[in-house]
Amino acid sequence: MSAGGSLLLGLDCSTPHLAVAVVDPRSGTLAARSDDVGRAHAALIAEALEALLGACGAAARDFAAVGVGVGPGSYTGVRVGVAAALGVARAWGVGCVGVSSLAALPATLVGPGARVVAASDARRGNVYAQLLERRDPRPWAVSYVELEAPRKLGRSELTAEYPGVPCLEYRTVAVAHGTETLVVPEASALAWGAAGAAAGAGEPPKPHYL
Amino acid sequence: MGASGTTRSARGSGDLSPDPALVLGIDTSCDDTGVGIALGGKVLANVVESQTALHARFGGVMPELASREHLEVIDDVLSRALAQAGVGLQDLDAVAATRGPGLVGALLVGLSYGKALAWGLGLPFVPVHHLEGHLAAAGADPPFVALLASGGHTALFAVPDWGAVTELGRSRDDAAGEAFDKVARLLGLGYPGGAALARLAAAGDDTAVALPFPMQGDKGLEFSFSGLKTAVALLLERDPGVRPADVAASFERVVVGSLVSVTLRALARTGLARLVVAGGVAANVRLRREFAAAGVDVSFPPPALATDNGAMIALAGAMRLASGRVPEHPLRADAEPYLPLTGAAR
Repeated sequence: MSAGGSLLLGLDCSTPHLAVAVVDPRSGTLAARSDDVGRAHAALIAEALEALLGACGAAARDFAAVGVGVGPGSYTGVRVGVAAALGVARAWGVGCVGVSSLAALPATLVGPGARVVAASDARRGNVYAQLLERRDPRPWAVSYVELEAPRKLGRSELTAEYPGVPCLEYRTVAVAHGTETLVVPEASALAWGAAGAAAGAGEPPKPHYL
Repeated sequence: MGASGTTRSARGSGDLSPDPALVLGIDTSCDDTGVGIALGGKVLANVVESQTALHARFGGVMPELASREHLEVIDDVLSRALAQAGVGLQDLDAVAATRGPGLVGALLVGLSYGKALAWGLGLPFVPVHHLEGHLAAAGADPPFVALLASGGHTALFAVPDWGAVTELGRSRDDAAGEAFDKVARLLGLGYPGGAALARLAAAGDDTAVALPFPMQGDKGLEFSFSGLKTAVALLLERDPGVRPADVAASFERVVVGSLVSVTLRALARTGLARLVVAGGVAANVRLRREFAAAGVDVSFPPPALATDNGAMIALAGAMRLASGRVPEHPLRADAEPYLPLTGAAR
């Protein structure tokens, strides 16, 4: 186990998936889980975190910060995630940072240096969308740079708004490295978003109520 | 109260009696963000961030707005509670939070925060029924009959022990506090106007206006207040010149009269001697006076704990820890907007 409290916890509850991950900034994702729990995020969040830490042998004292998805997505889900992240960060005495939930769409499917439009369904023919760039060249550093704020737009406008940029949408099938993968949230990029955050510093996580 | 907790705490020294548990309680069931800290039945901190002003312009609580506000302030309310109690998170023995009933989105904020806090600290988590918190705030030991009268509930319970509750009767329609607030609005006293209505009533003649007595002739343990509210509305339409203070006083006389007579019947029927009155309506002066006049051994929550707060959740959580009546998997507790008090033992 890495000593000295450098690990990062990521979590997201903005979709039916409950996604949690532990990242070591020196070596990448140590453990990650993403399960379709419907609306049971609040009931299952503590057990999911317990199992996550168990899977990589991490303890409270090993962490430096918490990154949490602040939507856009289910308002209630986002609030459950943010409330839980605030509670854990408070208990551990570490910082808590809000990161766009669209950045939880797996950067592993995007090569370093590439741009992608991350999208998820916003109902009534709309999608939440955000232009992201995987800038960090290290292959295990699955983080994104948010090139714009998340927005809500008509599904039909997506291609015109982002010509030539590949789209990564929640619960669709993406082809990467020659294999088909179902796109589900992965909290590693959210954990990366909290790198460098100090306890009590900066803005508390603010949900995107789009 | 005086219940002592089972505790692992090392506070105090040279005393072999078990230390009472230091419990933090969180309530976000409606429009107040409450965090309190209790030690052995004593409240060390009680911080409530009220959203009343935020919702007043809508004439009622907006659930989405309430949930957003809880999330904004909860971490800060916790900081203020710790400062008020002069303790740190490392001193706590357990964390309790309201799991229901209430607005589901609002409940989820405090419940998720409290669970994560408890889990992160490696402490027991105690999910608490909101109304059990109101009962615990009165500081009386079971067995007793409980009258809960608030904006959301009006019901009578038999409480032989903490976590063992049976319902005796409830309102068939509006809650008593809801009736107060609705009539206050009819009288132009704003929202929530229950307390303003009671103040206005003090200046009125309580026999000036004839209003129907709810459930007249009924020998059961139920309440009904919607007909009374409608009677006031019709009266104001028919006679716009009536003195508002007289309406308020007459309305209050009938509501309090109904609450007291049904409650006395419940005490007689159960054979229990002690009464706990909780909920926002417990603050009503006339209600207190009439129970005292009836010679009942009655306990009310102190004024600081009369409305929604986290300290009462801490008190109830401590009670549950001490009695061992805690759910098998407390961290799995979900928000339950319609959780009955009789199901709180689960």
